[in-house]
Amino acid sequence: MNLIEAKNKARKAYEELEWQPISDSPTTKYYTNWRLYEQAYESGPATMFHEPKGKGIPIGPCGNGDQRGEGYEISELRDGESLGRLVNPLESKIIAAHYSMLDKAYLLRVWGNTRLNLELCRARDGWFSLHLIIVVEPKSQVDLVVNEERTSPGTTVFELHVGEAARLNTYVVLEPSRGIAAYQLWRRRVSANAELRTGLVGFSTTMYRVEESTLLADMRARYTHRAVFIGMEGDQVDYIVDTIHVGQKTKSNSSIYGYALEKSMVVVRGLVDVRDTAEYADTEFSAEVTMLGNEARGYANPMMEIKLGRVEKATHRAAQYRIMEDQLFYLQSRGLDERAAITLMLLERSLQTVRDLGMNWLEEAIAGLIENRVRPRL
Amino acid sequence: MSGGVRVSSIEELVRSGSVDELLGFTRPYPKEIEIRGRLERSLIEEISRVKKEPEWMRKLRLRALELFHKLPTPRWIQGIEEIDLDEIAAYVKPQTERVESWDELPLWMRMYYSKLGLPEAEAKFLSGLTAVFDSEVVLNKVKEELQQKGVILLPMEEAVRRYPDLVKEYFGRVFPVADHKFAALHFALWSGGAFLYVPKGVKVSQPIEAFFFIGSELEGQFEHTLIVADENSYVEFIEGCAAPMMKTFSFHDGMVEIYAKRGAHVHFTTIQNWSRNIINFNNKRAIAEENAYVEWIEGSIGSRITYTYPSTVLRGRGARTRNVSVALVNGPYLKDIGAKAIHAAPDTRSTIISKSISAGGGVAVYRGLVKIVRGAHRSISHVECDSLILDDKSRAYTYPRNEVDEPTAQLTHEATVGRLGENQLFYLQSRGLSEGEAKSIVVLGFIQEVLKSLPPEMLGVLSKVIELEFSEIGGLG
Repeated sequence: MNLIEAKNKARKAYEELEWQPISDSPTTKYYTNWRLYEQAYESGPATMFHEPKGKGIPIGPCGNGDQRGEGYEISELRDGESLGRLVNPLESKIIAAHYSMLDKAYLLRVWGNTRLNLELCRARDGWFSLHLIIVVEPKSQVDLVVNEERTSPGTTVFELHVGEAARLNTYVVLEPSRGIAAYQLWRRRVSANAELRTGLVGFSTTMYRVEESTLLADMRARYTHRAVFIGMEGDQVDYIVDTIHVGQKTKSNSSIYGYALEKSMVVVRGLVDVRDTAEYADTEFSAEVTMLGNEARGYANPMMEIKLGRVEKATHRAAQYRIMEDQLFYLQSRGLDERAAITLMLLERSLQTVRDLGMNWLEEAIAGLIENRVRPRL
Repeated sequence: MSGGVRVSSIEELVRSGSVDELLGFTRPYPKEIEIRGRLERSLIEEISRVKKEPEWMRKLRLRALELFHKLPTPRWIQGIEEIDLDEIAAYVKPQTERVESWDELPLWMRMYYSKLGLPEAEAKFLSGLTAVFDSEVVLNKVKEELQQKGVILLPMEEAVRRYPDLVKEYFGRVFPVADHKFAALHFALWSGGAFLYVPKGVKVSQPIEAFFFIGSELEGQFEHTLIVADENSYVEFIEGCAAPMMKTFSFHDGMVEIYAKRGAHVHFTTIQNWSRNIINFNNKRAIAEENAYVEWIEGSIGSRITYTYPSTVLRGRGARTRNVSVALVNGPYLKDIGAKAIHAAPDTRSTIISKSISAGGGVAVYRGLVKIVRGAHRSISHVECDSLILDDKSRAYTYPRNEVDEPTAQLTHEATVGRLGENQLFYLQSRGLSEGEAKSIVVLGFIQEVLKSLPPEMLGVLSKVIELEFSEIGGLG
């Protein structure tokens, strides 16, 4: 399907679809305030864009159009060119909203031994849909950092294809402005013998729904994920990490941590789906929320569907708790006040994500981010 | 036992391999009343009239019927498409009067109970028993200990008539009529079941049992059990169920309500061994007041489809609940079971342990909810669910929902899904065990922790049944 077809179908679908059709399931609950997206959608599309603050490669309408550099190529999808095939414009109302507001989609091809820093464009007004298809060529070794400082409501969708025997590290930083409803979706397909390692550090806005879905499509595809999401004020975060094992001997290991400060609500959840073709699959999934505010709420719901007996390992765990008083006492006894102690804990957890993924070169940037965003709020 | 009926021992019961095998196919038997037809006001009023109910109960049934028609059918439920409520009998009274001794039951009925070993069990280790056949209580036995201590154990209908104020205070108050469509259906059609009241400070030394039997196909059973444990009392209650094999199916939509007052301890054990023709909805909920303790233990072996999520609302400070379940799905069946704990007061505790074993194309689902509301300071919950899949046709799903609105609370959840280790099997077989025996040992080891939670009387029965179930699949590989 090309963009024009997708837009036409999506406009119609938006009118027909419900926001969340499985509303009465005892396990699928509304943790997303869809009304805010509806209001934002009705306010119309963004018309003015500005460049990101960072120095990476700008992606979107503020960018430089088609670009080519060592080991990569970015292009706008031409009329009639196919989309990435991992997202169906009709699959949900939010995706229909995304396509119907989408002006352009972009394609990034990466190969060789390459490190890239992408900065997503920002809009000044109205709903902004951004769509990027990323293709990592077989046997490449790529580091990819994606920064999104969203300043207006809307959707960001990534379709990622990891080629055979490729090795890709991605790290996503989400720093939205206050008071918006934002949605981000990652759809990933990992080919045979490829290894994907992904990290995320995110901050809340009024409503932030982030969905990541990774398909381990072929034999021995591997996936490691580490993420930290921090909720503030009265914001709401709904963070969903799904992993689908299809190929034999595929392996996944995901740990997601939510921190709920002040009056925020942070939900970390997801599904590991081991299909009946995924013999000897091996999966671990952990979801934890720590509540740091007296009026905070935290929900951790990792789910599992195992559809064959010949599975190597399948475990998941969830935990929700308050910062341990003895941990605080320990830090305070070393001269740190509560604010500094909490900042230090968040910092350590965030740094651990980059260390686990072998992206230590990001440590300084992550430390600065936590220091600047968290400490002033405590 | 007179009348030519020989009582099966527990050993014989378990030797037979399964309850289906033991009871054989349904056989015709005399019925005094059978109410079947369109699910509408006149049908409900007929049931109420037959039961000679007070006006408040008739009104409750009619309100429930209205809600049943209004509430949507849950879209996530599978396997109920074939249930045509207009086709199944909503009320069946077998031709017998309620009696107080086994000898007084008709021979054909006594034979079923004897095959299940119920008279023997009752004599040995129960302090009271209520037996429900189809929609009516056919036997209610209360030992002297209970009478002396002022414990009330009655068929639910009789309690409605004899203790209207007491029943009215709790009936439908623990499990609201409007909770979901099938709860409303239950309240509209309920019949049979036990009412148990344990007075303040009374400790009942031996368990009390309620046993439910469905005798024929295309029948609905909607029994209602209500337990009120007054302050600082202690009681163990066992619920058992069985049915013979059928050509089509029958539908069970029962309910248990437990009210545990301050400091009371209630242990509720279910051994569910319906035949493979029963579609089983089991609605169970408890309210635990200050420092009360409610324990749900579920051994779910039989049925074609089971949906059950025993729940406890921890309403008083320091209340606790423990929920332990074992689900066996051996064949192309579905067990969708789990637990709910609602922490609504400070210093409350909940523990949920779920073990499932699926084989022969079976699907085992754990579906749970732990909710810790704001103000339930320092509450702690721990959930563990482990699944074992014995072959490549079978599946295990885990859907926990953990919601904490109280920052001083703590909740942990752990789940694993494992397969039958080839090394384990090889090791056991190399020591001379058959594949079936080796699998049984692995399965029993897997649920060992749960078996320890069972009342000693039930432990032998359940572990033997499991052993036999999984010995059988040895041949299937």
